[in-house]
Amino acid sequence: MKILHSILYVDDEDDIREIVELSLRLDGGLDVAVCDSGSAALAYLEMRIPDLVVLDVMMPGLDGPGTLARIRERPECADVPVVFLTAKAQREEMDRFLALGAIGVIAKPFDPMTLAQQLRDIWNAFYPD
Amino acid sequence: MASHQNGRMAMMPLVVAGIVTVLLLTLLSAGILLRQTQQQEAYQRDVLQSLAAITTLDDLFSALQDMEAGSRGYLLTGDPDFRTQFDAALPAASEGLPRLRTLVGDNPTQRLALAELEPLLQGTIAQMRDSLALDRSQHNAILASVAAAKQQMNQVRTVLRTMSMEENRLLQLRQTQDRDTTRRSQRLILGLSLLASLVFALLISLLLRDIVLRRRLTEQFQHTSTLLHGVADSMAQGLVVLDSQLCLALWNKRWIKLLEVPAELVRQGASFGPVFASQIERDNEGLRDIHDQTLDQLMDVLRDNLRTQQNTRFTWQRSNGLWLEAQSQPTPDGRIVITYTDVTPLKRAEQRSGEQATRLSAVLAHASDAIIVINESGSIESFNRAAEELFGYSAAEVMQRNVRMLMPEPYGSSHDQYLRRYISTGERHAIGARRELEGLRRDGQVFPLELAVREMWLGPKRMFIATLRNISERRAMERMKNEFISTVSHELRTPLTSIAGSLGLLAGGVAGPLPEKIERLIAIAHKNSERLVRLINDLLDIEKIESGKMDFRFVRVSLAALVDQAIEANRGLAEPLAVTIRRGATVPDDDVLADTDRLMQVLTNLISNAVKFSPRQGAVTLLLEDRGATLRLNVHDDGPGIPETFRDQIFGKFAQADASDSRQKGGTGLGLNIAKRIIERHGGHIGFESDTSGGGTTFWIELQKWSEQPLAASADAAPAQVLVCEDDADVAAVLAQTLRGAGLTVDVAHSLRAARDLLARNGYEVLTLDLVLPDGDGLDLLRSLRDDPATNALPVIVVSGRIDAQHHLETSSALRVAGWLQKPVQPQELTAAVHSATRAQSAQLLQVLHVEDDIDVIGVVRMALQDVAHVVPVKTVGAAKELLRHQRFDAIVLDLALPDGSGLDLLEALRQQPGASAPVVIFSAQEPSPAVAAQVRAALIKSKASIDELVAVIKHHAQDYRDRNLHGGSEQ
Repeated sequence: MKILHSILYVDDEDDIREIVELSLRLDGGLDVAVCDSGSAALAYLEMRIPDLVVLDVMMPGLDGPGTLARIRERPECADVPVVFLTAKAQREEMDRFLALGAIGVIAKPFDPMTLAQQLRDIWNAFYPD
Repeated sequence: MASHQNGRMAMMPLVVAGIVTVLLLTLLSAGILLRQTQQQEAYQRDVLQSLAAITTLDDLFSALQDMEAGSRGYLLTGDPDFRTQFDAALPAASEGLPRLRTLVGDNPTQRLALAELEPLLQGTIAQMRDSLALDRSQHNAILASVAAAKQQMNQVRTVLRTMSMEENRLLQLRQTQDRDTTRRSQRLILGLSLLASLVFALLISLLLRDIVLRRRLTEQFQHTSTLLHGVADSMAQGLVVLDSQLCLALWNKRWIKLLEVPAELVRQGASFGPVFASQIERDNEGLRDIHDQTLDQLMDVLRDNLRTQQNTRFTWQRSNGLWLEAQSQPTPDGRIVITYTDVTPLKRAEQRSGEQATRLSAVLAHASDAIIVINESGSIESFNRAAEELFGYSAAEVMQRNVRMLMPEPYGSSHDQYLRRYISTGERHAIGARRELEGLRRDGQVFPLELAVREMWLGPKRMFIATLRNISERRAMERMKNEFISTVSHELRTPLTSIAGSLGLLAGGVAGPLPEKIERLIAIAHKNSERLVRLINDLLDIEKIESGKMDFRFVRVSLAALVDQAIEANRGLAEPLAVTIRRGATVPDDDVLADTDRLMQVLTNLISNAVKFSPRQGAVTLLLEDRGATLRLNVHDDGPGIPETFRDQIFGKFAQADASDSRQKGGTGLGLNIAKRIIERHGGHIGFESDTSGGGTTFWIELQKWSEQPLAASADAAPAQVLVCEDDADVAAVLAQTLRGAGLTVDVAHSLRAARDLLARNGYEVLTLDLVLPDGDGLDLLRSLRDDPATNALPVIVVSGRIDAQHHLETSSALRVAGWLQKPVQPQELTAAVHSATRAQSAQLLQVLHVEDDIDVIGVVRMALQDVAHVVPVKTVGAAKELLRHQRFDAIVLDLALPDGSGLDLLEALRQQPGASAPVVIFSAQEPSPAVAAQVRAALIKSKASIDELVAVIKHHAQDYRDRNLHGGSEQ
């Protein structure tokens, strides 16, 4: 069983980035990198591929789905699993995100004390034994 | 008048004859009188003659006697006195004979006697004379002579007596004759007088009658004349009658007034020409059209009309502003009657209605809503400017075309359907209600529109007015609202994420241990930020529910499992409050049809409420009850209970018993409201029991069990049979379960072949049909169903994604789809559609076809049957046959005398149809022959049977037919 170790979190909101980083690192014990935009994320992915990419949906410029599409275009990181984190968590939209190729969707606001576990659950579901 | 003249004509000869007769009779009488007088004179003469003769005879005889006496005496005595006597009598005797001769000469009898007498007389006289000459001494000779003289005297005496008697006889005869003749004449004259009197009387009476008649006629004529003039003068119209010379024969005052005819031109027999001319001159403005014709030409026109017996009509405006209509009508007896009517009010009304029409069409033209008027078959009859703008077609392009061209599929076909269904069953679906559908512009663009259709009657013609509004803007507004909410929620959520997130981290100890005070404050802040999050979530949910946008995905799920999940999820909430959540031991294993997320939401809400209101160390107990057809979950807490005053509002929005209390407990006040809505959408129930005196509170929800069997039979009718034709097993299961939950028995077919198989074996009341099936196109099945009389009327609900529909549905109007449902199917819509379809089918309203060409009869029958049947009238056999090919009826009412043939032709056609055909009731003026009567259920005669009787008969047979065919499939 593959263990989730490293996460790249992409979100234009500074505060939320900080919270997520804190939550995942301190509470979840995960290795966390953060980027403030889709393009920054793509640049980061050229250097290093994390176990899981968590994308905010609503970002200026290249939004979450757009970033995902770009990720999928690059052979080196095309397969990295992606989870969307979004405030627009109505069911139809969640279906759409899943249809786009995300392996999971987490709603904002999230509970920072359970975020890591949620991600692990999604990860384990994607990589079952 | 004419017949009387004939009478008078016949009179003349009669009168003449009468007079002539009288004259003749008079002459006759006179003649008779004359003759009689003459005769009388003759008789008189004869009488005198006879008397004279008699006298003469007597004289003669006495003379002879004297002579005899004288002679005798002389002879005997010789006294000369005797000789004197003899001599004295001798002349008389001698004269007597010739006088006698004269007197009786005309009588043959007398003549004979006379002939006899003469010689005797002569002899006697001679004798006597001779005797006188005798010597007195010759006594013998004297005796002999005396004797001889006596003898001769006797002989003479005899003859004379005979003659006298004869004369007497003649006398008497004459007298008798005279009397007879007189009498006869008298009678004749009397008779003739009488006759003459009679004839005279007759004549007089005829003449009298003639006079009386003439007087009466004169009276009548005067009376009629007075009447005529009275009528003419009282007429509202002006009247002038011209004779064959176009001269004035009759007119009324109104004519003079209306046309302002100069008085000097108005005279009996005056020519119409000058009057006409003055008319033209005065009204030259209004009579512009005929101005170019001369007076003579115009008069010729009149003459021509007279000759050809043609009417003419002419309207113009007079110089005084009045509008007049002149109508000239020639009469067969060579006159022209011209009437003038003041049509000013009419003209004004025309103008006004013209203005109104203009105003109305201006209103229509400028109306901002598109208004389309269609007729019963859906053809466009009116298309205003707004409609032109809305659809991009000019009115001319759409006129008379079917309105469905303005709608994309499936709306076009369903509109057709709705219209047809409304017309034939009166069921309002689109009519009188507002519907939202889509419109199709000329350029192919589809746009959302709102449609309101109302029925209107233009005399006998039924029309529908559709008001359409492009609701793209509204839709856009709605979209904007939803987007706004979505955006706002995101916007709100974003900072909230940070707030709640940081607080959560802090509270979770990630940043390390905190001083107590800080910890407390952080806890407060964190709790409330979480509450804000929940509030936003609930608000969004409410908005979705209220706008009907909350979608449910129903699946088969174990309620027990869900309950366990919910308990787990809420353990975290309960622990800090030292509340335990436990579950009852016996757990029914049944599944329910539910949207897991939403049901979880409800469970969570109930559990969290129970936990919140539980005392510390208390327990929340969840119990699952099996209640036969349903499962009930009870969530019990030992809390304070719900106060009485609050119980009514508990499921309302922002319902919180005590503001302070709930703020403490952290509720949003929306949870139960949302829970209620969700449970209702599940077709279940929610409720509570509470005891404020220590018994605690139990909230419960009840849901239908998932089952293959019909769970609850509806009280009224026998369960309907529904066939679900759907290849996706999950979808099919959901559809079936939904319908079973509504009390229907359901069969499922996963392919067309399976469906056909089932349809052939059973009679269903409704079919739900997926269009895309593994072994073919659902529409093919539908088509074959419609072609088969046994399934022709089976309501079919199509369940499909829209894309397919657009391809197929141009042809679906004849396929009569009862409903369209788009996947994913909302259970309520499905149940509603099925119920409405079955209701239409098994509804009390029977379908009756009335073949009849008399509209009144149709109207009466229709009204009489309106509570129990929908009557479709057709006027010809041809139309009936056509209709019967596509539609099924419960009964057919048939007139025999129809414009295109006899109703009997229809019987023949019906007999040839496969399967049992609807019962036929003949309702006709004629009495059908026994052979025909045997072919039908009943035959009623129009004049004899009452409408009530007809209604009862139709009801009976139609209902009977309906019942036998509803649950029996094809066997009869």
